[in-house]
Amino acid sequence: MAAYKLNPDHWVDLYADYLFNYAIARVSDAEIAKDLVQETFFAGLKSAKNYKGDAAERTWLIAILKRKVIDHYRKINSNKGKAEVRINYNTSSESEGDWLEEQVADPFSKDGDNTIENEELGLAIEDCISKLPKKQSLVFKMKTIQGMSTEDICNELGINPSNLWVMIHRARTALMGCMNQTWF
Amino acid sequence: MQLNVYLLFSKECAEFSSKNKKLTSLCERAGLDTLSEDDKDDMKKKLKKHL
Repeated sequence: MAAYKLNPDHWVDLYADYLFNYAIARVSDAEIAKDLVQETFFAGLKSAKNYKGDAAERTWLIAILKRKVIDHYRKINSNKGKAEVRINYNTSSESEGDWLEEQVADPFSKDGDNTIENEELGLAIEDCISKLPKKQSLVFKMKTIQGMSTEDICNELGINPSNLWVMIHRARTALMGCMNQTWF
Repeated sequence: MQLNVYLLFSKECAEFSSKNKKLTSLCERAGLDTLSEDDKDDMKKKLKKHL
């Protein structure tokens, strides 16, 4: 049976931001999320021979990242972690038992729903961005997500402002079309 | 001047502008993050070593 071809040379360009957003929504720490993405790529390389092509490359990498996130929480919830939580337990009479409330999600809170919806929205936008031509997606991310100035982007990419705005216009038009199909 | 009047009354421009605002607000709501180019270069280097 022919092995399905993975393309690790392009993983960072194609999937790093998508995986990073997935991870940061779950660990709420940019450094940890970055490490998890890197580990995911390494694990992907290691198990590349097991890739059968049943799922798209990105879906396969997300499945690996999910395991990495679980491993991360297992590690911090080890015995050492539990001991640290106990030390931090507040025993003063005024706030006794507060830590329990801090740990348990409020079932009447809408924040959880909003967080999930925003996370799904983020992944949907990332998905649409990944379908853009490389330069358009780069320009859109630099301008809209990273909030870089027009001048800085032009200097970095060696383009003039007119080129930049044409690319942003095309990127936004394509993104709106994609979001209309996938989100609304 | 002619362009400004056109932009003010054009239906297509108004539609595009409203969609544009919607997209911007969606991006803000989603709180998207990206890795810096330096981080990505670093990742690429480390990956290359493992290839």
